[in-house]
Amino acid sequence: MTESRLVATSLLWIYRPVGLWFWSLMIFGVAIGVGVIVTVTEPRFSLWLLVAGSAAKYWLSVVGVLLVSTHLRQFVATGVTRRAFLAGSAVFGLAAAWLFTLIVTTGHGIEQSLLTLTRHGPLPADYPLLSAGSAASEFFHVLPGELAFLVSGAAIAAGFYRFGPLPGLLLILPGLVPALVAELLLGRGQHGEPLTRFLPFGLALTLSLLATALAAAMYQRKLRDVAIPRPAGQ
Amino acid sequence: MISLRNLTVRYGDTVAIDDLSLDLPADKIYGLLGRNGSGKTSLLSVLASYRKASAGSITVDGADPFENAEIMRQTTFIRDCLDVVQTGTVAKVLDFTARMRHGWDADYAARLLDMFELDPRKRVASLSRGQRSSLGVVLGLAARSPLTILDEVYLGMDAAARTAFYRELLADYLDRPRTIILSTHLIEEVANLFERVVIIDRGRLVLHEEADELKARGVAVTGPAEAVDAFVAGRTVLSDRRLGGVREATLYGRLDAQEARRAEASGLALGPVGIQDLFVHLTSGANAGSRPLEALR
Amino acid sequence: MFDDRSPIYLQIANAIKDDVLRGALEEDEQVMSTNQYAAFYQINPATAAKGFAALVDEGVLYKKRGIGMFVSPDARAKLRTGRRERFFAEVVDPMLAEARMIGVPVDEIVKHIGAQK
Repeated sequence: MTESRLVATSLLWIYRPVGLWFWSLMIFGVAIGVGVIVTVTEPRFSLWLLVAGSAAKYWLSVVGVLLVSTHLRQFVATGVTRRAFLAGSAVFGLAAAWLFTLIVTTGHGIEQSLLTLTRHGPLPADYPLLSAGSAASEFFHVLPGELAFLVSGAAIAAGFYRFGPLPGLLLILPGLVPALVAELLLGRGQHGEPLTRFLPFGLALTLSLLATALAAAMYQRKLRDVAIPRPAGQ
Repeated sequence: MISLRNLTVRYGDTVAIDDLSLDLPADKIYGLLGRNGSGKTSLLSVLASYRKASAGSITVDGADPFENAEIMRQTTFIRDCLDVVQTGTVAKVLDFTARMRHGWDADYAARLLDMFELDPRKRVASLSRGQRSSLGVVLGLAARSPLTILDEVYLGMDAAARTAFYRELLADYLDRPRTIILSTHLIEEVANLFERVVIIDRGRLVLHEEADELKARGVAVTGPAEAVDAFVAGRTVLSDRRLGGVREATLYGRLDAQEARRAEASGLALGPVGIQDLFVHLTSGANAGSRPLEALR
Repeated sequence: MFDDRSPIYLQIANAIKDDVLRGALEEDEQVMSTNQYAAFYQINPATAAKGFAALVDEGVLYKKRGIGMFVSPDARAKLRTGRRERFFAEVVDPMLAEARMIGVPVDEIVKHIGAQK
């Protein structure tokens, strides 16, 4: 197994238990939330998409930060090169974003099915419908956001790690670009529905992925030969 | 073989390592001694590829270790801040290291955990300082890396744990010789384990000597002040103490049997100077950085 | 175990020499290996090896390839001769100097030695 593949699988191994916890809590919480909503009113929105959809992105951005602030040091301490770590963490990031997008989209489908089965009559018009046809486009609407937030977290943390607190603050802005672009162009409406703004979907998708890729490249460059100092406060 | 040539490490305006050249042949136990701020940790960081040199070169078996997968894989650097997952248990840390390190000996690690009385189910964040250090020792020894660097790993360990550590270190080294670099402030405790001693002060190399040789380098000459004055004239005097008419001078340099007899005949008492005392004298006050000592390398 | 007065490898060599003289180590008997010595006294094996090398140079020990270090057949005799030669200069003269310094007359010393026979 190459070093970078070892890094990727080890990161997955590290995050599997905490990821399971996160999604279990998410499912549990949203299930109760939906249960409460339907007893009170009509489900005009997808609670799952609104809550889980956002939470997933922020969670991944935290993972992005942790990759730099914690994991880089741990992995180098086991004799792995920074290059191998960067490559492995990139694969891990892609896998995590892909997986989370899958869960978000599938969850939407499950929520919709459960609502349909337990109610009499059709769903309200405002509820964002998921069909076999729209599943793919919803998937590719969510994926760029997941990727963007992960990379933004990592890029911002990398700025601080390499250049220190003051330059790090300045570098927050370029680091935020992927997340901002994704939110702007491929955001979510009030009812949780995927919303493409300002540009046609294809272009928006391309632009978002490009911004994310550029920030990822920036992140890699910052860390390629970075020193591994003692962590602050130890 | 580790070779440093004109190595310089800078942090902004501060120079931590200044034009340092050194050759460290493999498979020896080295004691790296230096005061706080002497540049020890910077030197070790560069050796372990945790940091790139600002100038000069460093090679391990002929190749630059920085970002060199082959060399980094064979190096273990344990420092006091323990670069491990803080959120999990001790067992998880060992499992992670087992996944990542090819030479990892899980059985040995388990035996060491036992010896240091570390509960694998305990959370890393809740370990005491001494227990964290013990964990560091377990990680450092069970990896069995050809280049093992232990930077003040004994912090917080009680005397019994430290004794166990030294004993284990020596036993494993006897079993599988490798290059071990120990950085320590508790010099007298562990001086007998060193084959060679490297002393760093203010970023410069003070000496690199066989431990046995170094031990014989210091002599404390005590007696009536005039007699001591006469005897030490022309020799390197590291330090001086006076009480009434008695003077005690610490000399740097061997005395042969004849000179020793001459001293005793003059009514002077000769005493040994341990490595720790020698180190203190060589790295403090006016003597620090005095060039004549370099010639004795 | 070891003091600071002289290099450890010399102390090891002297300890082995004493053992040979006292009969604790017989001629042609195998000595502990450097590793065993190192582990027992908690010292670096190179130091132990240096002590052994000194003894080999002096002819007190010899090496059997692949097996270990052994006491030379004539080690005891050799050591005795050497120590005898230095006995008066290194042991007796300092004793007399001390006696002079504290005012013990030589006659008393002779009487004391006579009683010990």
